[in-house]
Amino acid sequence: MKFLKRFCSVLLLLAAMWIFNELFRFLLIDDRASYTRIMLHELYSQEENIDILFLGSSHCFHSLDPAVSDVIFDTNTFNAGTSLQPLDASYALLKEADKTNDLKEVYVELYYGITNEIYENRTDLTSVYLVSDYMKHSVNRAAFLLNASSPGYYVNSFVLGRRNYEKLLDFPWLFENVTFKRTPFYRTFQYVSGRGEEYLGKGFVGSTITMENSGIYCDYSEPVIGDGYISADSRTYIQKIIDYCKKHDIKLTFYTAPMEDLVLSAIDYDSYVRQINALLDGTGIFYYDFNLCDPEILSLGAADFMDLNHLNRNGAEKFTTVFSRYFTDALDDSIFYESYDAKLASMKDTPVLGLMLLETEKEDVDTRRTWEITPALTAPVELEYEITVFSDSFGEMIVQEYNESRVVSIERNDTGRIQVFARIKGNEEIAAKAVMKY
Amino acid sequence: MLFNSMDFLIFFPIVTLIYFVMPKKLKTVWLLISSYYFYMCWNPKYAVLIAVSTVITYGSGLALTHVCGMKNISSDKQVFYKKCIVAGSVISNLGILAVFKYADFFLTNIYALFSAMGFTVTERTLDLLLPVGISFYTFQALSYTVDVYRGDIRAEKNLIRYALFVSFFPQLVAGPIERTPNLLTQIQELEKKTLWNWDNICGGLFLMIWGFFQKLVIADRAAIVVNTVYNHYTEYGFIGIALSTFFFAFQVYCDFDGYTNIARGAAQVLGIRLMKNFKQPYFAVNIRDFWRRWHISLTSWFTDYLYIPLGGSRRGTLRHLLNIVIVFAVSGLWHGASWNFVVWGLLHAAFQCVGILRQKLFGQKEKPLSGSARIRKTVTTFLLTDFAWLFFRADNLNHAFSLLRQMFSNIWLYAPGSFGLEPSGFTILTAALILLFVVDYLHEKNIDLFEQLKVQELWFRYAVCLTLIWTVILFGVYGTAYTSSQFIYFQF
Repeated sequence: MKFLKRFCSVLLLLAAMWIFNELFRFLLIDDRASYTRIMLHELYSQEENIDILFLGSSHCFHSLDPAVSDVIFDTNTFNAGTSLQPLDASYALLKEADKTNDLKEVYVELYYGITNEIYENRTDLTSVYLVSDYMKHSVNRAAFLLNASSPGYYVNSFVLGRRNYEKLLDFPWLFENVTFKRTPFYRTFQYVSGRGEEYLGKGFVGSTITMENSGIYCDYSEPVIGDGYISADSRTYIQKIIDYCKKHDIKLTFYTAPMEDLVLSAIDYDSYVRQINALLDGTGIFYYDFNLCDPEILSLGAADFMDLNHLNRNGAEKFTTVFSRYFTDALDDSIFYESYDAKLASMKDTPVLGLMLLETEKEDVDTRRTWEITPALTAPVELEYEITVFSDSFGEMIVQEYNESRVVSIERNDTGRIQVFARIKGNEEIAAKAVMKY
Repeated sequence: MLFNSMDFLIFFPIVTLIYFVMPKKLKTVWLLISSYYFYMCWNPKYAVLIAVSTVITYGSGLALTHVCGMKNISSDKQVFYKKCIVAGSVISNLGILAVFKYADFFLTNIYALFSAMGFTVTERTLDLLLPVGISFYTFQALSYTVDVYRGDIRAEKNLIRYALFVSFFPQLVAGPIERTPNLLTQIQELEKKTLWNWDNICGGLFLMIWGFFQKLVIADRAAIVVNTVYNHYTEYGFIGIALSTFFFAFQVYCDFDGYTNIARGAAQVLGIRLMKNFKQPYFAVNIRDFWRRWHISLTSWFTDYLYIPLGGSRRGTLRHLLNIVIVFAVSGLWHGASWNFVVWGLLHAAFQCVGILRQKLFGQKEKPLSGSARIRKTVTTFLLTDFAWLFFRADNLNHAFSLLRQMFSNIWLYAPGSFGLEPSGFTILTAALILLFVVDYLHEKNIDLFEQLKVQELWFRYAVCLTLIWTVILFGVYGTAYTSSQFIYFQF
């Protein structure tokens, strides 16, 4: 009797711990605008069997529209992409979806930004938690979290409220969060919209934003793609996904969604493509990089992108159509170039130009900020630049008339905008424009 | 491995579970293996040192017993042999401690002395990694040798039991420094008594949770403020440095008492009672009282093995004061191989000496204190100990004096919001300190909180436990990038 009493009291304590864990999660996690929450709810509550599953990062959930792919594939497709979805999360989602569906085909997007991650170095687990927080409690979820990070992060992984504990003392925020979560809008998983994006169902997020003109600016650097770029962790999970699909008789395909040529032309993209192909060599699984797609088949311009990396709704519709037609055999392999360089060579008469402003450090770093204009070219041309600074302190100033110099320097404490016009030498027409706030 | 780490949260339940299902005769062996595994997680090589210390002191105990049993020698020779054995044990153990902990300190000071005298010297140091807990287990082992020598206890013949006494994992790396009548006796009875005790398990777990609260919620949070100010002291004046030193008083208390409570709790779960190491130290009414409440195991060790052998208070006032200075200088040095620790110890010696002289000169008799007198004395004692803590926390003596100079030359220098903690962090810290005060106050009134909790209704017991557990989980500071932060006293 005593033993039973004590056993029950231990169980009661564990149950109370569980309840409090869920309570703190409800109070402290702000997922009011989360797409993933809605996507995973839809995944779990699909009435019709999901035949085709798309997995990958934001490149996936912005680029593949199930409303289009459903029609062309003539089946139920579902987009389970999430922001910066790493391959271990893709693997976990694959197993999750396969629990309640008889998956026939899986397409996994391999954006190069996620294939070089080293998991034990992870300090920011947002991309992991975006998925795990909305997975049902299961061995799959536990295994995913235990392998996703070093043990020091386990508390944050399993005790969700811990991540935002300071908000327990922010009563107005708590009240706002709890009040919203009690609304029918939240409880019935209504679609979220904002910042020019809208959740459109079955995991697809469509954007109405377009890139301004043809000029593109950025103040970050793309990774250098050298030998051994793909991390051991990514290789491990690619292999796990392959093994799982083979074991469960699921047709697996790896692909990459289109990005702006301006970004890809600035890196050794063919090296990445070769490395992925080498990795899959001999597995019987194939990789299709839609950045190598003939522009005459898949014509994407600035109006089809919301930023350097992601298609907007227009672009997604175009891409999904070509993607679906290709994988339903309506298009053949002739739509792909052998290499990205070959594609660029075919575009040399109609170069796409963009400008990147990359901040650098010069000698007078204490008093001035300096950017270097880096042209992103799909063909080798000589450019000259006109630079205008719209300073909040000093007003509008043309700091450089058209010439080859690519350096912009301003006073450190100043704020405003830098506008750069670029034209091909000998040509009066403006070829590219960049505007950047500083 | 640290107590506040995932490794320990896996290690302890496994060790405990196997411990309870093991046959009685093997429990000691199992605990010994676990203790060595625990220690080797820090550095496998240094397990050799603890083994050497164990064997030396174990052997000295047996040798002392053998000498006592020798009938064919004179009592003078017996005493001589016994003294040689004790001296050998003390010199070898303290020698190991000296090499690993103090060699570089002495070398550096010798070089500085030669340089000051105008000699050119090539400075070379040993750069040995300090074995974790060496000061603790060395003193614990030495106390055994001396206790056997004095005839207070009989030598332990079972090497396994004795090795466990030296290396028992809950108290191995940061105390309390256990004594043979308590710990060794309990180890000797492990094979005889039934250890499964629900009350012990619940009480032990509750004590561990309280220890984690002290360490993770209070100490590690206060450390953020202290480290911010002490590492950038030129940006602060009197208010900033005084405030951070105030927080350091609680950081060091909660860090050390927290560790001790986790150690005591873990031991209690296993059916072993370790001594209390702290008794509400900041309720002390004078410095002597403070040292009856702070690091009780170390204080009693120094009292029994240094202060009393030096003569204590029985050889006149001057000798009494000198003995106090010696004990506290050594105590300071025990805490760290650096002059700022020695100065910290000497400050406490000075405070005590002043108190003794006042008593002698003004003939003050000890009498019951009124409420206001108690408050005044408690606050004064706290301020004195807190002043001394500045030296304890400083990186070195120069740093300590720089802090003092900065404090008194920039009284009003203060940058709001620059203490490294968000306002919510200060709120949590303040609330936690209030709770600590309430708990300590109740203990001061001899109210055993766990005994009181046991008699409450189930819902209340659960509410208290769950509140404490969730406070630790949610508000505990788990260190940068969520790695567990070191207990302060591990450097000793």
